[in-house]
Amino acid sequence: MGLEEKLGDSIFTTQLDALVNWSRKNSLWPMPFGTACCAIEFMAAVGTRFDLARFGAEAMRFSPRQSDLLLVAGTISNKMGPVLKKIYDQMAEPKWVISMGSCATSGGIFDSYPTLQGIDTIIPVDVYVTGCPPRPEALIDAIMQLQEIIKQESVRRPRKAMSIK
Amino acid sequence: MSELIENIKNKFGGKIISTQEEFRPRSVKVAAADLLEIMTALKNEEPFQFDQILDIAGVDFLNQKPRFLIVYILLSTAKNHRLIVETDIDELGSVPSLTGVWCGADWFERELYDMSGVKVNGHPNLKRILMSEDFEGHPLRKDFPVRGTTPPEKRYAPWDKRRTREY
Amino acid sequence: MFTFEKKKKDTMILNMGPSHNATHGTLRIVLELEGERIVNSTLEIGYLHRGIEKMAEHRTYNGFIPLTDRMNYVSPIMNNVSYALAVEKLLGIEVPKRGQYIRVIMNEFTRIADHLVAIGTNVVDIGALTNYFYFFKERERIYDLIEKVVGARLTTTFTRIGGIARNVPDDFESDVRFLLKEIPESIKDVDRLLTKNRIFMDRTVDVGAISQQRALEYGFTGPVLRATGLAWDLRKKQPYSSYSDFQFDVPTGENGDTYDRYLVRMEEMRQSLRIIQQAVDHLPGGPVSIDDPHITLPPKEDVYNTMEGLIHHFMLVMYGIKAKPGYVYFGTEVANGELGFYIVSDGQQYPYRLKVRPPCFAIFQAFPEMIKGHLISDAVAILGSLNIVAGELDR
Repeated sequence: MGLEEKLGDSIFTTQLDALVNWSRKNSLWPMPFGTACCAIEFMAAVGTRFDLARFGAEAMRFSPRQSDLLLVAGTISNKMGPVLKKIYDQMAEPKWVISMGSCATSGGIFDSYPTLQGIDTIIPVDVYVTGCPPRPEALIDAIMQLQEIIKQESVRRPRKAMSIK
Repeated sequence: MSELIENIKNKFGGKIISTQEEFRPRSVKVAAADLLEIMTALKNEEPFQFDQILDIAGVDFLNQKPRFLIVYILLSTAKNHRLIVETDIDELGSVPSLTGVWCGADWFERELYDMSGVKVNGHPNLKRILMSEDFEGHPLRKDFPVRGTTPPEKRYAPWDKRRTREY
Repeated sequence: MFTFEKKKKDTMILNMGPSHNATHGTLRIVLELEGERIVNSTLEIGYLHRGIEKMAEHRTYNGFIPLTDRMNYVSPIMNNVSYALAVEKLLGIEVPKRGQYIRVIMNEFTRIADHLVAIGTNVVDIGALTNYFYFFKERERIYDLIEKVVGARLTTTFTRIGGIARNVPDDFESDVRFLLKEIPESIKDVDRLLTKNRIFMDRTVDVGAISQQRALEYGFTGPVLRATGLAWDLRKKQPYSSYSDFQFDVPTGENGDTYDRYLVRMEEMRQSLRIIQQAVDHLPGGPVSIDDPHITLPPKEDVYNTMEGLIHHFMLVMYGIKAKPGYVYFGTEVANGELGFYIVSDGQQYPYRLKVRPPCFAIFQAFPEMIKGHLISDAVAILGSLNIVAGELDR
């Protein structure tokens, strides 16, 4: 537009979407809902070698109100299902969900009476991570994929409301 | 015959229904009615001193009478020996609570009730421990299917399709 | 849902968990508070109940090993070894010496890894984050070794009935010696940071103490029992898997409080390193698994080149190991205490009934007694020091 030529380097024009998404995707605050083995690998991902802080997602918040990424790591049993649903409902928009590991994704090897066969029967999931448990690299990849998803969203067309019944 | 089993036989005489020395740890079988008395003696008296109860397991022999075999696994840290005490009960029978003998028996008995559906008489707080209160059936009975009695798709309503996210 | 018999007027009910950062996932504690002091509490478990015991009745003896990984997921190899030893006892077989030694080495490394997480997360809950990073560095190195030997980081499925899955790689010994050099450094670092730390001692000394008598009655085993002063260690008292070959001490505490548990765990890691040092120095040669076609798979060359090998492979894969009718209970000393497997066999290739005796289960039921009269923040410290692993607690 030539606006920058007149105003110099002090002004930077961009799209609002790009700005908002850029800040959203680089400051994901995960709420680790770790129940089982995957939580240990998640701890490794936060730990020294893999260092999730490189992707701006190291600020763990154990309160659903303060977080925007629900990281379900581990088996969810039928007894735990309502708890997970409640936590998801308590999170403020915008919110995303990563289902980490086979158990959270599909029940995994626990095809048994107390196990919920996949958390997507109760809450929507953005990124599924395979593995039992997934390696920390896989989790990092999932977070990068989620960042790609966030990049394509728009503030003017908010996602359809996750109405709570 | 090992010294331990011999001592038990001398002490309790006719109350011991049978003993088993082939498998480890050795086991004795007693009647459910005598269980409390025998367990109290096993804990407190000198040649036994079973100061720990490690586990209680219920084994369901579906088509046999009596149906359940209740297994008490004991350990003596003072004498460094182990013993299994078994008792048979049928489906409507019950075992006495051992919470008065070892306070650690509390949760094991609740688990026995939850998983095998065996009533425990005199337990202070006999309710389900692993499954939720509204769960029906007792999972470790042989007539309970491994995938449960309700099909998975009916356990929860599938997530509402209208809320599908658009990217 | 929860009712307390004597409900005082000025008490408050506080729900902790199941999603609380100090409960490590899946425990629920309902506290009755008077101010900030705990007067009563109720526990609720079962949020991670996955029906492992039921699934065992539908799996072959070898097929159950992957499920044992997921019981105490902080130290899976110890569960594998414990279960394999129980079944081997049922079958009446013994693994060759090399297999036993390798099991011991891996077992002790996993014990260290478990204690690293136990102490690391415990002090994170209290408020010291640095130690967690120091310890996780070592844990990653142990993971590297496990990955080299087994092929997976966490869910190892290390053992088979009658031995281990495959022989260790050639540079196993040098890797072990490297770890033996590196791990003591981190332990020393954390020792310097914590053991005489005034804040840490204020938070843990005389917090959550339990007497030896009560601990025994509750069925405590492992570091939590040893912290009360009783030197009860199955590796010493009822040796299995060649543990009688090694020199090591059994550390004990005095008061049975949170600080003693920390000290016992720290010392146990050093003793584990001693065991590993002796085991790797005297590592025997020879096979790692027994040579019985009804129990272990034949070598791949035999399967491809000989008729018998092919048949044995087929029969074992299709029908599994058959144990004679009977029962066995075998307990081993894992990081949290005695992990026992009670197996009833009816002569089929599946266990008729398999009961796991998790160490946490007995320990956690004493939790209300331990936290009574303490503050909420103490309850967090005590819970961390017990190292409750929900996968094992609920199975």
